Amino acid sequence: MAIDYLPVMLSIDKFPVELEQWIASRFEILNGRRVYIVRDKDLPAAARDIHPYCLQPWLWDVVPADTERILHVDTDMVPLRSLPELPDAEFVAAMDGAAHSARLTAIFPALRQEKLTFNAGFFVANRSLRPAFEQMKQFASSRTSNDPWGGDYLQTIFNFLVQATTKIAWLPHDFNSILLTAEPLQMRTAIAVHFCALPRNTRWVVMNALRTAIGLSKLV
Amino acid sequence: MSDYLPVMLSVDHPYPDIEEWTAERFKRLNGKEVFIVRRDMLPEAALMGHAAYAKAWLWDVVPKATTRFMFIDFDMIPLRALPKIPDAAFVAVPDAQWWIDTMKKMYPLFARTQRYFNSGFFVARRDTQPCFDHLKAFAVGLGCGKGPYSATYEQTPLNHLIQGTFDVHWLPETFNCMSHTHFAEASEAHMLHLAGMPNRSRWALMELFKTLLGTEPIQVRQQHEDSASE
Repeated sequence: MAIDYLPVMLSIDKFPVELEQWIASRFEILNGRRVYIVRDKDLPAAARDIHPYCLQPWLWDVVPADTERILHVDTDMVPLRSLPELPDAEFVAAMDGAAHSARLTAIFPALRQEKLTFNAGFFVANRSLRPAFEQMKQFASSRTSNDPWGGDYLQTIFNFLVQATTKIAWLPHDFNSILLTAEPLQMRTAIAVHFCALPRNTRWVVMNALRTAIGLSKLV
Repeated sequence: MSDYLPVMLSVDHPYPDIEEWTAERFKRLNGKEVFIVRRDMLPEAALMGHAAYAKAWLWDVVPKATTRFMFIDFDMIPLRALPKIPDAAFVAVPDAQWWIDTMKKMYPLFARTQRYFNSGFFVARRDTQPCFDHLKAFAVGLGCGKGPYSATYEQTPLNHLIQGTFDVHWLPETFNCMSHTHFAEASEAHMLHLAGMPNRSRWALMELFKTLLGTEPIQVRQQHEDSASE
């Protein structure tokens, strides 16, 4: 039986509304689930001054109370194909680029057991992991403009907390194909393409061109 | 005479299938075969400096009967069929406004003309050849050094040479939609230019468009989107 989940998107940082709607509509058409969009106004007061890239810890505070499992998709992630069936695990994520994972696991001993890291733009989390999200709030709140994690905001901390709590069900890169690090051939089979770490304007321009090029059409 | 020869410069393209796709897509959309200039077609002098300067030799390598060519950068994606190109000595598209403003501060000519084109896309008539010959001399003199135009390679000297000699015919930004700037234009773009992107993302993005579009024209999708969002 397919697992149940609520797809959630944090639409923050002045993200163009037409792109947000396109991403959500594409996801819905491909996967048959309406995306729950979280906007600035939906956030609790404690999260209002938090850096926009560090708001994931508050996801459990804003989704409906009866939500047992969330699937988080970044706003700069374009769903291309339908998601295959997801594993029934506490936490499911896609492997990050090999070079990035290797760098992080070399620096941080706590990540060496798995020798893998995930990109936080896409993950599926069970409510049982909420304590890890609560703990992550403290890091988000104390974070200054100087990011000690080399520009990945909370991603490394998120990896620490999840990997210390549960066994991750790893998905292949195709589930979160990062344009910045992917080999061109990976684009042929990508389930979702992620425009993270590109300059914000470039991300939006390219996504807008893609929006008019493929619209809501289903790809095989 | 408003016909033109589309030309792409391809010196050691790392992904030949992407290059071929770009040319095929352009042909499908515009009905014109793209003339691809490869390393072995260029004289040695053209390969001594930065690759961007090789376009100074374009008039030397296109067929002799060519009266006008359209230059298309290797990182441009043809999205829609191009409208008719006006018959003028030089036709180009303004660069991103923030960059024009920078160039206006640096060079008096551009402060006077208020214009500056991006050299990833332009259409040049044969009477511009002396400007290209001048650019060749500049490139050879420059050798492998950076010279006075280090931030823009051949683009600023070409702007100087062309704008100092001809009245440029300006096209809208949809003809050369810059991926770092032109958000509104992107939805109507004829050519998307992946300028300033890291190479790996550039190739991956071109492969993505290749996978998604092939050589098919873009369909009108607004109606589809509207009905889906109801």
